[in-house]
Amino acid sequence: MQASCSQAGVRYHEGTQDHRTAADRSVRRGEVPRRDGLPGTEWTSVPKLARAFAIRSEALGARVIRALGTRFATRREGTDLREETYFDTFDWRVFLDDGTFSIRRDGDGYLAFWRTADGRLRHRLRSAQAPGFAWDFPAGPLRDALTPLIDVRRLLPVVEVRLSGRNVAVLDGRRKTVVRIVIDHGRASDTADGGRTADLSRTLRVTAVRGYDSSAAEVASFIEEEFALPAAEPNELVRALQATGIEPGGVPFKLALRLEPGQRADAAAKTIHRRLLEAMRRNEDGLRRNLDTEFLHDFRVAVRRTRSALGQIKDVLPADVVSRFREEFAWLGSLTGPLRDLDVYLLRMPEYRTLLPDAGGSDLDPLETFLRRRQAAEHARLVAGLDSARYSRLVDEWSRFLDLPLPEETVLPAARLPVEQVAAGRIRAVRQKVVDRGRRIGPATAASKLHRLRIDCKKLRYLLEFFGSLFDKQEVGVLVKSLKRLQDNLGDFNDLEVQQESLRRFAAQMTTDAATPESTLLAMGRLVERLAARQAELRERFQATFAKFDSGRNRKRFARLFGPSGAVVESQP
Amino acid sequence: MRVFALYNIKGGVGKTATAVNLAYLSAAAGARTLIWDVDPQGAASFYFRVRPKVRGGARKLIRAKRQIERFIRGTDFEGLDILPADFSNRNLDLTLDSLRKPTKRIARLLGPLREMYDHVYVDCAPSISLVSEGIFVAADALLVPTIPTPLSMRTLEQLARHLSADGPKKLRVRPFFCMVDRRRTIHRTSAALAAQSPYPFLRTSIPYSSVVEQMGLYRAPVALFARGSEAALAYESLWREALNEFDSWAGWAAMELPPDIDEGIAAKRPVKVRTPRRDGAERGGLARRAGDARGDAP
Repeated sequence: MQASCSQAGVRYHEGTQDHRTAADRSVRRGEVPRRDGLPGTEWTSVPKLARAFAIRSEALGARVIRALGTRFATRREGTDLREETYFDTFDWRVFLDDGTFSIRRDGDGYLAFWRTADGRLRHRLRSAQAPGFAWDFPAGPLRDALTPLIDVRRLLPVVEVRLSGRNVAVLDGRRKTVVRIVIDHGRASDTADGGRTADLSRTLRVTAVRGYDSSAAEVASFIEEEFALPAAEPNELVRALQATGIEPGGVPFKLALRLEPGQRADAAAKTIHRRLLEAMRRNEDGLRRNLDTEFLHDFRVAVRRTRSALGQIKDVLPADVVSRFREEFAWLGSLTGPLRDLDVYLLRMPEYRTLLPDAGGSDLDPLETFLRRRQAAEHARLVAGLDSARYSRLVDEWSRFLDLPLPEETVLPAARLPVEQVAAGRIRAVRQKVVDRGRRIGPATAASKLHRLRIDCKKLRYLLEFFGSLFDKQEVGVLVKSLKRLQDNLGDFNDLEVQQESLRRFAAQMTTDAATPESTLLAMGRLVERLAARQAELRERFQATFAKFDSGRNRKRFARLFGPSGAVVESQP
Repeated sequence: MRVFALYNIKGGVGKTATAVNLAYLSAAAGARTLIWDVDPQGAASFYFRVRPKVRGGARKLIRAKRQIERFIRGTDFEGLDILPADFSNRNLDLTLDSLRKPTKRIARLLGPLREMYDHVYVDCAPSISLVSEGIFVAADALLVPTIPTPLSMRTLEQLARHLSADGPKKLRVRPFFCMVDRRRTIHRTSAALAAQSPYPFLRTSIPYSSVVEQMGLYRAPVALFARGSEAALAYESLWREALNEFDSWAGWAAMELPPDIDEGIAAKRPVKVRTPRRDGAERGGLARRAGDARGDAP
């Protein structure tokens, strides 16, 4: 099994963020980017009146429209039929950013709307293509605003609504539309295979044209007073989700573990493992369908965390179980490695092209073709792995074990201890390993030593994430942040190392193909040089980054949270 | 955000009609569009049926900085907003004069709109003033509607002299022929006139057309009530040409306009307005006002 490739892959991607360059870490793993500072959010600062009322029957709707006509100048704008499909990423990034993204068929193409939750238009675009990745949109403001939000995730259809509505415009004295009223009803369908279709009950929506909020408020309160209608949810997407039973952002995408202090350590370990297994299962479908690269990435992170938890939370689960499943999850990790590698190189192609400014960019086209072909083959291989008896046995037996009741009696030394005690001990020990290794690294130390340090940092990071809820949240947060900075440095350094190796290996494989032009191989050579130069820069920054992590303040913080690490610390140089 | 200023020292050259039609096309193509009516006559505001008054007047608008959004009104068309004219625009010059760095004020005023709009069309007042100079600083392109007569060509030269002395360096100026009457010999020789121009002309000319005059009657862009007319096609061609030159990166100019350009808002439906029978019986804002000539206030 492509020994060198997957070896490099496993080593290089075992963590949560290793493949990312500093720039694309701007969207952090598993976290939905905050809306502050995103382009386009200014729209939300403008109050906009959008009210909705439930309407029992068509006759009542007609009565309301008639009544409006006696009080205000109105224009009936007829009825229409509207089909709209809402899109979001698997982890609901648009929704959690207080937005909705939808398309309507329009001639041969689509009209795409990106709105705020209260219905104000953020961006609009006419496009021949249904939405997918951010980079598939035509260059322009919508793409610029969408890219930092959805990053490498694909917009997937979530729910489709089919509505027939009556439209009425309320006019001011100049016959200008100042308020729009829509009474509509129809059906919403979950776009997933076999998804539910449900009725969307009749609703009256009052929306202000920009700058005419007070008029809309007046119209809404007239309707309220005259008809005492019950309020309805004004956001159409939310109503459609409620009707079809889709839970938006319902699954926690961060580990978000809540452990109880005093809980038995083996119970806590099982909770952690159960959560990780859920994460794997959640991503399996998207991974099989190759929807975007994050499914595999998140799947791999869960596998990696499972392996780390099995190894790091010692003497808590039975030794035979641990050794058996460590082996199985290692197999799973190595099964996914090669595909992840190829995903990452494909994601990096645009960056590589910019590194070779003049003709170099297009010289890399054959490399991209090569990678795409390999990617498809690796994906098929991975799907075969997920279809194998070994995988289904692994999942079955592991979940059965996790569901077993905890034993009353146990010979395992740590199993019945309170979890915070076990956690603190492990964190102390691993932190000690990290600082021991780090302090020994000088400007001439071999790259392999940095690699080892990186692995230990990762173990420490996972432990802090697993058990963070048991300790002071803020203090743990500070440590994680500082550790993360160190990991970024080490991760990027290692990334660049692996990229150079892989590019050399790809070049060797491509040389055997007579069709590969020499200019491509030369361009790849130049690329390797650029990457080496970057790597050297990172190496120079290591000492300072490590010193910050290993500062007196952080040492005290560790001691305060997890107990003093003993005399060892003091005896170290 | 791209700022297009429609400007000519001379008035009555089809400036407002061009601004209204181009802005409408931008919005129809999907761009988030703002039209800023700076002309004290408020013609653009009239076309969109928006009350030309900004509460507090020009002084407040210029000082408002971040709150400029509060003065913006939605038109009847999705994606097209308007910053209405104000009669106290007449005093805009004096207001600017009393501030420091007056010519940079307008660019700063538009700053907060940068993330909100893809295209801004400024319908400028004729004449050279602190206001127009401020707009020259803020604009990416100055589109100059020009009637093909030797006299109009002279105003172009005046503009060139003025700009080379006092204008911002980066400003790009593109005249185009407007109100072209093919029956008149002098208009037919427009190519010869363009050759004497200090600035390269856009290829498209807007014909003299009764359709354009009817805009006031319909209070709507020509694409709405005379789709396929010579004038409508000319505006579309002008719009594509201007965007190709000044906003090519965003690809708007290549955008197909929708087959049914106005998504069910006006022209295709018989307009039947219901006015309340008991006008003024209830002393409420919109209800009370329905029927009289005032619009809404912020």
